[in-house]
Amino acid sequence: MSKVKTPWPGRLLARLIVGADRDTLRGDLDESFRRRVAERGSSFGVRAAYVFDVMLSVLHVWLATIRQPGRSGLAEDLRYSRRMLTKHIGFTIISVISLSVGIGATTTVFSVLNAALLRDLPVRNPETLVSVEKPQPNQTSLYSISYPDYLDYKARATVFSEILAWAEVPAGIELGDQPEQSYGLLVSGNYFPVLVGRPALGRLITPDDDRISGAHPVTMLSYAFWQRRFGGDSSVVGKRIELNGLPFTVIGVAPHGFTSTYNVFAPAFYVPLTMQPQLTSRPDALTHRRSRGLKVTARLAPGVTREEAQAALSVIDGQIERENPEKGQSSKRPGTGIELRPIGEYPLDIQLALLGISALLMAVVGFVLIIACSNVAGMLLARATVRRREMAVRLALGATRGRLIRQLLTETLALFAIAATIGIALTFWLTRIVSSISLPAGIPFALEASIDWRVLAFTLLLAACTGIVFGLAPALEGARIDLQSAMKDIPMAGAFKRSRVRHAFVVVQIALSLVLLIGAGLLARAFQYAQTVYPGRDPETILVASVDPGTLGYGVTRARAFYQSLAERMSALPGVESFSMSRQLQIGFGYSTTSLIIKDRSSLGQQRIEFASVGPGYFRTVGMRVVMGREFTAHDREPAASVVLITESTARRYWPNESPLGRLVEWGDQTAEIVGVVEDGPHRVVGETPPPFVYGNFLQSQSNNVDVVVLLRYRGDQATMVAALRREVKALDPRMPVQAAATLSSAVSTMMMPWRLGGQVAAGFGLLGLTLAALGIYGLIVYTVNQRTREIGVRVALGAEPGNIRRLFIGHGLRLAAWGVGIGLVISFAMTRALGAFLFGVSASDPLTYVGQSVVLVLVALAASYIPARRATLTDPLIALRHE
Amino acid sequence: MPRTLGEFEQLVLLALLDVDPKEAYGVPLRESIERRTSRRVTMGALYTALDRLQVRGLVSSKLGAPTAERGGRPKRFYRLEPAGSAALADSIRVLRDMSQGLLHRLDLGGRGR
Repeated sequence: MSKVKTPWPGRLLARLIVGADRDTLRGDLDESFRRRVAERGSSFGVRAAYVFDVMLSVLHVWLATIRQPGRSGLAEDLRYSRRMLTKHIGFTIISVISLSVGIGATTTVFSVLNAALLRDLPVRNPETLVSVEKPQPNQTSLYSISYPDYLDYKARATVFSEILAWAEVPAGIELGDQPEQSYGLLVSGNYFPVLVGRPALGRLITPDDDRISGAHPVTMLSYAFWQRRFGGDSSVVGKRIELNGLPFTVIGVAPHGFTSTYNVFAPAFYVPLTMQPQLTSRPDALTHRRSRGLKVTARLAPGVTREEAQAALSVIDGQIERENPEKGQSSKRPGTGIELRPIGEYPLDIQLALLGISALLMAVVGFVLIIACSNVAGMLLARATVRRREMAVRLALGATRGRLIRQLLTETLALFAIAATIGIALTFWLTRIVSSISLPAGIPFALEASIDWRVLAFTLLLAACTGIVFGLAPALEGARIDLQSAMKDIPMAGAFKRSRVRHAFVVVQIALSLVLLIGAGLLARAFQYAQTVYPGRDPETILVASVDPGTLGYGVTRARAFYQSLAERMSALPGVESFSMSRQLQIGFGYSTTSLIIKDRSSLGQQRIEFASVGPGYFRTVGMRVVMGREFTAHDREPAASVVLITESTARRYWPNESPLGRLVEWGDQTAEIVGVVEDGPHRVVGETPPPFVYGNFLQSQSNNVDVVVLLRYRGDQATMVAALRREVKALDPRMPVQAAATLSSAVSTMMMPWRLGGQVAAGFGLLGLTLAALGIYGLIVYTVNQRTREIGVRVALGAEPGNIRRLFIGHGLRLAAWGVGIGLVISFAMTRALGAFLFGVSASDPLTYVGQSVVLVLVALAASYIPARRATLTDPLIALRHE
Repeated sequence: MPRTLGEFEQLVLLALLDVDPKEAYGVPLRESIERRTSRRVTMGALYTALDRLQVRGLVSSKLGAPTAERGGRPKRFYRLEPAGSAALADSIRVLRDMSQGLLHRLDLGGRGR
């Protein structure tokens, strides 16, 4: 019967049992298990019941110890802890620094996520607000309700006390000599009165500002925009600004902290919803039931639940649909009903994307924290050895083992508590930095990280959990003392096991540092490579700027005429070598694909080919060589005589040893002639064969999208050139905004900012991890050398060469490094898959990065173990032998 | 009596009446409670209760010799002290007096739950 082994998880847990009756309790637990096995056999249920029993017993015993103040004296423990922490001040400082950085970083990431995902919206009674959604078949759009629908809901639905509508609107903001492209929010008149109390300045938009279509050119600014563009100047009220070319009067500023009904969506301004037709150049925006551009938010009437409101509104919606059958549409649009969701809840796909990014961020800072914790745990273990005599004395004086464990754990927790406090202070500082990261203008996205009770609770929980998890092993080891050998100060039998735990901590540090360094390396390589992913040559002498006539309601014909005139005016200026335009900036990911049929290769069927739409003179402007034929000219304008260019590798692929000139391709219902072959653009993945690529002529494009990037190659001063461009654009249409004017090279770096930032953050954390890991290795080897001083003395006395001794310890350090690197590589391989989507130009398993960073780590490990190893060889055998 | 007995403490003291005094250690005590009440009892809970009762002088204990069956771990045998008997009797008396004539209003069902 005694042969039956108890399940190991239970055995492991049972070691946590403390108190005077530790042994009898464990004996009873084991005996119960064996009896049960004898009665019913060793089924899973019996084993699980044992583990459960042990788990609950541990809890009971721990709770009982904590609850008895008379016998345990928590205050006494704390006093003692303070004495110990101040006595070993060096250890305390190093531990607190590394832990507080780990805790601070983790808390900062959490606070950003908290602000984006968890925090309540800063609006009145958010719990009674719901978003009203009308899911459309085959559509995931957020915007699904038309203005007439909204008015009908408002008139008929009694389940809501208020019902608001809003829509985002892209807009050019004309302000002084610095126009910018951004987003605003069109809001119904009751939006602000329902959601917020009072404005930061001036007055709110009210229902009176939202009565007659086109009659209320007033706007409220967002707090952030007011701060950024007006420096918080209170004389802004009454000023006029131009939005999409229309004059608006500023009537107020939204309250601080309020952005919209989504925490992360931060528009620059707010205007009454009835201004939508004017602002968007869509005259029927407010009258057409099929113009579903609105998002609706409602406040539930008192006593009405979300489910009741959803049912009631679905009925009303069904009535509205029957009363307003849409021609040819009604059958295709079955009443899918209405969905009400708690406010601030993101649609599923956005939620998943946010979760993915959050998980990645959390993993990075979590690694830093684990490294710091392992580091401290390693040091605590080492100290447990140093303090053996102290513990032995206390045991001899009548302290129980449980008491010692608790004492050690209290010390560790006190350490973590100090670190958590400093970590929170760090978080205050870090969140300010995060909030001040300026995203490229025009992205209506707010990273508002602040500290609230959730963040504090998280930090506390984090510190407590990590403190217990990483403090337990050292505490258990520290209290496991063989009185006799401890008092005599000879190493005891368990020492080997103890150092194994320490080794594990060092290996963890090395492995996780490597993961961070590899992540950082991959991002850095991607960033470095991305710097070269632009078309043509000499990007520093090419000026790019975006011009968006679409926001001013230009049609295709008018836009083309505009570009034609602009090209003529610009080309005539001194210093301008060449001027052209492109639908998108061809950098980074800026490619799209199209399907086309190659006329004399029609057996191949539809080909998916990468595609870009560019204007006349594009290749000359960016500096790409046309190797055969010609490029687009101003004369290629008739859609009937469409022309395209292809790249060299495309030509080789479809017409090896033949001239592609004059061949026809067909896409959509358009046929185009190949008039030229241009050199291949930059690779996006090193070593890849460039994919087939075709350039369409922007002036013959059938797309309705008329917004472009203009490019000009210039000589001379950049600022003069930017001013000239603005001047010429203004001369053609004074309302037209010119955005983001910069050289191609700086546009490339702006676009790559997230990679640079990500790489820098990962590199910073990686270096921190590396430093801690190096400290860990160093500390461990120093410790081993001290432990083995006597052995070294014997060896030296027996004639061992210094080199041999040194190799002994360096080998030890390197073995740990090898384990760490091995494990780190495995984790990296698994984890960098997640990075894959953010990398280009470099594969997620890029050998150079993996090998390079591993070598760095091994070198650091070598250095960290060399220093103490060298000291070991300097030992005088006489002193060493007297050591113990 | 400084403090009345808790329900679980009553069960533990009753279990001490139930088991053979020579076998009054953790395993049989728990089995007694589990068998009679059909409740699951955690060994740790039993120990903390016994510990409390011992501090109050209601039970006493002595350490037995280690046995191989228990992985070389000793047993701790418990004994009901006169003060314990008195406290238990008192506590049951109170319950009996209070429930007199009221039990028919409760559905006590069968044995335990």
